Amino acid sequence: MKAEYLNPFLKGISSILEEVAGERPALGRPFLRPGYPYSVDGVAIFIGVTGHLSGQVVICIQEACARGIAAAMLMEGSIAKLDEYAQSALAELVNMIVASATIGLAEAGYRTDITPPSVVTGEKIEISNQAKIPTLAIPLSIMNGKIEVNLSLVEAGAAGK
Amino acid sequence: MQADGAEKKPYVKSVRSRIEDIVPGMAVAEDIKNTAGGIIVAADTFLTRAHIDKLRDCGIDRLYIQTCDMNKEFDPLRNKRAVVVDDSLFFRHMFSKMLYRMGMFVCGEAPTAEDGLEAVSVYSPELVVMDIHLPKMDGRLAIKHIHKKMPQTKILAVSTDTEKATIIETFRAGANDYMVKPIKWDILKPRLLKLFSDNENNAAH
Repeated sequence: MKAEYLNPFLKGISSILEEVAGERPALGRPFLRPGYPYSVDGVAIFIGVTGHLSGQVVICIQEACARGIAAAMLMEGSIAKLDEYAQSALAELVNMIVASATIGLAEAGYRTDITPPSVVTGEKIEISNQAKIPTLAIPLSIMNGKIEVNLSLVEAGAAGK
Repeated sequence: MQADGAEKKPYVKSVRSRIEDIVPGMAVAEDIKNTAGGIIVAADTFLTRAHIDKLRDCGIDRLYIQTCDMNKEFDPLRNKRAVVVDDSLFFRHMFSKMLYRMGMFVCGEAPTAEDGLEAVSVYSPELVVMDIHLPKMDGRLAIKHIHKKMPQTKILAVSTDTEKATIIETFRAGANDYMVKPIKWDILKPRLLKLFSDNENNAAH
């Protein structure tokens, strides 16, 4: 994973989260996951990436934190459970983050398209990837909760740039 | 757009009881008025989408909302009708909420351009909020259709897309403004006011 892929994501995550949640996330140290499957709790939102880079982005949010962010986005005081509206809000959040990252990627010479997001909730969600693309995880904390951004991206062919 | 006074009173009464059935405990304004098929209510109470849908089912296609914090600032927007087209449920919900707060009434919400065009032809709204990247028909094409059929209707394009070519094409199709998501209240407010104050100026000439 090159820095030129990573930086647009870091920028997108910080600016979009700050805008929607009103709080700048504290970024942790990115680390490479040892392999597949990896398991997460709470909410996992998936977006596929195609083009000069291909693979998937999975953003995992702790349940309480996800409710907090969804409440802020929906302009509600609080949300008791992750209903259809809350899930749609989180899907939109990740869509905005990845869309904003694709702008930075395009500036670095990588043109990409993204798929509509899908939302999965539950405990011990096991995430696997058939292409076995290495996953870089970026931990961050916001609203007293944790978010993990998992980037499994690879340059498509030699065409790269 | 004025009520005919006494004649309409019985209708107003029935509307009030119907609203109280639909939205229990909702504070319906004392001075509830019937205005061209719509009603004026005090909207301190939060109206959910289900409430609005039920009101629409009752044949109420306008809801003139007097919000507590509404001031003269929103006069150009008040009682204007809007259709919001976006494939994201969240976006439609949030955007409609902001429009309500400014005194507008969202008479239609649609997840596709096709449904959006239908809602636009039914309601002839003053404002259409249109996402650009939609599942089937492209938002730009829908904008072209609406602009051709109803040149008076203000079209606000919204997208996460910041590509220059997309923006230029959208304006060429007939959009009056283009906003990049996420869209916050503070940013939306002046842009919408500008859209409709331009309109008033043009109408005066």
